[in-house]
Amino acid sequence: MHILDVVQNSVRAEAKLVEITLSGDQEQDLLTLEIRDDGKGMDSETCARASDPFFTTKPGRRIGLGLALLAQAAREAEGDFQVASRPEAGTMIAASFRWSHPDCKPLGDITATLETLVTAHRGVDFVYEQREGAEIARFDSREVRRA
Amino acid sequence: MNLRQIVQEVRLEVRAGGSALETEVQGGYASDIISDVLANARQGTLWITHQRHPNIVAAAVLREVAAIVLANGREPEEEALRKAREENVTLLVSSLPAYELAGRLFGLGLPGVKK
Ligand SMILES: Nc1ncnc2c1ncn2[C@@H]1O[C@H](COP(=O)(O)OP(=O)(O)OP(=O)(O)O)[C@@H](O)[C@H]1O
Ligand SMILES: [Mg+2]
Repeated sequence: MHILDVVQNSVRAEAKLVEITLSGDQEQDLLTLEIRDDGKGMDSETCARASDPFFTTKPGRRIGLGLALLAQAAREAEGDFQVASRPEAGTMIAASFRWSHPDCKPLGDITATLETLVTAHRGVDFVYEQREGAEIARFDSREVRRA
Repeated sequence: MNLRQIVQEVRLEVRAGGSALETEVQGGYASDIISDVLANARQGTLWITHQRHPNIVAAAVLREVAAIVLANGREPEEEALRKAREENVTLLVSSLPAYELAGRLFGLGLPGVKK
């Protein structure tokens, strides 16, 4: 899946904190990925176009595939995709997937993804939380960096 | 071999970009994973896929492929078709399964992508 791509958007939006939550719900057969940042956010027009593959605010480019691919992955697995954002308030990206769907994409190596993010972006903190039923695993770069 | 000849030889149907059928085709690549296509498809080749959404048009523009071919009787989503027309991307469809389609194209002398 495209966690790295999507978190890179938050970094580009000058977020100081990015919170990634992955929750699995066996009963509802639902896998949900949420990425929240406190970056500069988007106005409603930008937000509405954010997952259009032919929309980007990167200079000199015409195509931006990060969110478009995540939206597609969610759709392929009978899930849902949402972007909520306000200028100066930050952004929340939520993608859900039907867990048992044969086209539900594997998550990739989340540990490696976090390692890449934490080493590449010294000025940004990352929190990752994984929930399944009562089980919660949590990583917080603020704790690692303080140590 | 140009697109027009290929369209005739393997009986493809043109859904968008019919004005570019004189384009010479260098070979082909088959994949349904967009990131893989972005990394490995080459300019001027045919791209065979099952994906039908607008992201394929964006990938085709980025990689400058000669055409997208949807296999196995799949039709592009409406928005993908609209985008292909707008971007002048050639979008073809085939009733053949991807394996057979690739085999036929290979048989016509269109090679795969060399690493
Ligand atoms: N977290 C975010 N905060 C603020 N703006 C965002 C955020 N995520 C996306 N955007 C806006 O939405 C646009 C599209 O994002 P998307 O990830 O789809 O493509 P991109 O980042 O422009 O290009 P690519 O991901 O292909 O390198 C961005 O250019 C940016 O303007
Ligand atoms: Mg991006």
